[in-house]
Amino acid sequence: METAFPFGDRIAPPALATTRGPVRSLVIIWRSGTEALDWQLGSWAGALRAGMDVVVVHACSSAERVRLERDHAGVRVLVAPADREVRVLRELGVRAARGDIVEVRDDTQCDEIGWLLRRAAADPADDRSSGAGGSYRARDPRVQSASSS
Amino acid sequence: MNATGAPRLISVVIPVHQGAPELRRCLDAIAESDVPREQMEIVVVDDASTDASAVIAGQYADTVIRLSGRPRGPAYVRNRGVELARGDVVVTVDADVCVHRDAIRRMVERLDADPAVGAVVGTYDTMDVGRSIVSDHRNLYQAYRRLRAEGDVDAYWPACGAVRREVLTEVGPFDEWHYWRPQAEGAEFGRRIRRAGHRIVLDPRIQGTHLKSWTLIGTLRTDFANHALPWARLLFHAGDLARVRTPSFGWREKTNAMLTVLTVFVLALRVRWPSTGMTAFVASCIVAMLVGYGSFLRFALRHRGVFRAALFVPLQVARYLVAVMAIIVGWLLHHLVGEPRRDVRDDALAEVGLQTWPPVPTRLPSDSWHLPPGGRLADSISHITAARS
Repeated sequence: METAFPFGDRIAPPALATTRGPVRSLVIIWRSGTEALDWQLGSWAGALRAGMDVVVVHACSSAERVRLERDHAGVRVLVAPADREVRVLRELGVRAARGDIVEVRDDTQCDEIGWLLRRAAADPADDRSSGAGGSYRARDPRVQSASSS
Repeated sequence: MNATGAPRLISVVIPVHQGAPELRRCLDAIAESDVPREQMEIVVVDDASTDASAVIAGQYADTVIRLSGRPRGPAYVRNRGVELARGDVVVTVDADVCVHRDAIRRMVERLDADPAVGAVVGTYDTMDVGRSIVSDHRNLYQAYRRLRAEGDVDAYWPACGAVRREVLTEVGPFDEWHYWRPQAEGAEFGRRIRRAGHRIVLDPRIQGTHLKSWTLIGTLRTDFANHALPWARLLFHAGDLARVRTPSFGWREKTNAMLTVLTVFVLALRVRWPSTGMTAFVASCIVAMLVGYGSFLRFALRHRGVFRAALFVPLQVARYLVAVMAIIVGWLLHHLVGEPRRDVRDDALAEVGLQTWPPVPTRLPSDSWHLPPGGRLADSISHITAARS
């Protein structure tokens, strides 16, 4: 069921092609603790610096949202009820994303250092791992050791 | 498994245009696949839909690409998805197809089993999804043809197929220049795969349920303008209409088409010049035509019963007449017009070299329209490279 979303829908596409490149968005669905989210967003700092549109859908307080947006410049945090199922949270995130290319990750992928990160770490030269927002560069030492072993 | 022993990463690329309700069922089916989710990357490319397709895609997909402007067709849209796909195997599924639980696993297993197989395609199943009789006939007939065509084929079937990443890299993406509607892009892509020396295997155990709803006019128009006509033009260009191996061009299909045209022709003569001899001839033609249809009618009888099978007969007649008409028109267009012409706006933008998002469709240096009849892909590419240098 589609839900109305107060942050603005991006369902209807613009009428014409533009001469800019595609805008890229990353939507992170986060249902774990905020500390882990801090760490996770730190690992995406490169993409944020590159101007990537990052949307986090998270069941946090308003104060926590303000802190996250301050500490991780460029991140937009949507406060969502914790009891919503993941599909609804993903839908909220995608609706809020500004990008033409939207990547959606949830915390199960991030928490387990998901397959995309593993793949990127295994072969950093593989340009197939640089889809949206530049190459994925995992900062977790577990990934580094996994790639070197 | 890939070369390093790690599990294969499978990219599932789904183009969608105004297909929100079917897309949800399509993505539900993929989510229930018996391939572990972490081995699958789902990429949905929204071809300028104004419905909620992109939002529904976001509920399931790893990547959603939202193309703006006017719709540009599945070849273009799949290419945008393939550009971002990271998998060793690229699975293409249409947004109105619900793949069976084991379909994606079977595709990968088939590719793993034989390195010579560059691509695998499946078939629609025989399920009646409760649409109109026209839709049911169309889907059941496609299933019938494909279920009987196990083995090597010359055409790739993007509605439910898989191709190795390295094969895609070698032969190039779908031809978005010549095919801006759902047309013969799979046939053209398949030709390049075959010319590069790879096999395309149709495995009838790889199945999906087609959810599309058809009207009579819609199905005849699609058969004429989007299937038979572009196929005929491509095959006349390549000069191998008689040799191509696909379920649509088997000997049974050709025989049935000729019998149908003959029957309609003598029926028209009988109406104009009635005579006992003519009536007998018409009756024998109808019998011959029904015998030709017999295999499909028995199949329909088994799956749908007598009443539906009987209703399928006039629909079959209409299909064959449209197909023959399209081949004649295709022959004329081949000789009078040549290759399909791109939209004039795209032509102009491509000539200027303007970089836009969504990108201007590009013409492949190695598409089948560049290849000389019977020529090899590698020869064509080296020839073009030499000419450019």
